[in-house]
Amino acid sequence: MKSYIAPLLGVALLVGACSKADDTVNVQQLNQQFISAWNNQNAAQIDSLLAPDVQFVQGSTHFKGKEEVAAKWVRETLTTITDLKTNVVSSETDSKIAYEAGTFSVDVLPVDPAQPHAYGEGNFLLLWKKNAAGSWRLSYAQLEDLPVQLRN
Amino acid sequence: MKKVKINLAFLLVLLFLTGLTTQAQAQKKWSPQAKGTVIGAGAGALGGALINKRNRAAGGVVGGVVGGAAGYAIGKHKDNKNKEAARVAAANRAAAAKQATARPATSQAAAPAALAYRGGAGQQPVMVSNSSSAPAGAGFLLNTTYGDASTPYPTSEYRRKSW
Repeated sequence: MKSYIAPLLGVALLVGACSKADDTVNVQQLNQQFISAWNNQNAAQIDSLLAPDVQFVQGSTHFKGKEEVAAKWVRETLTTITDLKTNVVSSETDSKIAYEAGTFSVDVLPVDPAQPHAYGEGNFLLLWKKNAAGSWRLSYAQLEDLPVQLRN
Repeated sequence: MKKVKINLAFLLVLLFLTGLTTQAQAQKKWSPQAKGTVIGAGAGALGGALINKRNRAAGGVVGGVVGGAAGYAIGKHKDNKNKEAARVAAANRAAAAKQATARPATSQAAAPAALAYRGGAGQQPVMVSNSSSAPAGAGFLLNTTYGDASTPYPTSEYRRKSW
């Protein structure tokens, strides 16, 4: 009788561990993918990570829906910055939701060659949600930017 | 004889008023209230004297007092309007001077050496004059869409939108 208990316990443990791994997500990986898309200026990849009802909040602007966010945030900003980096201060995941929040820094490209290079810093929050198909999509992004400083 | 007296009084008041107006124009030191009071009093006295045929003196005094008060009120109103116009003009001049200082030809503003701004609510980096003592490269980009409500930070004189 005892000889059956140990294998059963092992199987139960394995099943439990596997199901837990399926439920949660590696939010660092999600954000790395998202940030890489920005740095590679890959608008299509950024779009693919946005949820249909994504919301973007920055200062006094609030964009709702994938189309508006893609047009007014992603397309408007993508060509003006480079070398986006994030520093995560807070992070959490569960079976349906995951977020990362912290600070960011980015190089701001000059509008015309005569203008100086600059860099920006600020705070960010990226919130991901799992959709019905089991894919994780960016549901909410909030940025708070500090004044853009001239490069030395 | 009586008619001659009235005409003489009328002439004297008229001369007095003309003299006052000329003096006021020449000196330009009279306040609008004083001018209004004097002109009102003179005109009121003349009117009162002409209207009250039974007692010209009493009519003149009453008319003068009423006219003076009315003239003072008109002068005070004019003075208030002048002061308001001057205040608005001064504010406009100050705003224009501030804009000229904040937006030099290089489209850069000097800023403190240390990063004074760290995300405090409603805080703005302190702007210093464009003197040579301002450290190089410690400036901030100016907000070219300042006042445009469709942009993220329309009330910030410095550009805040980066990512």
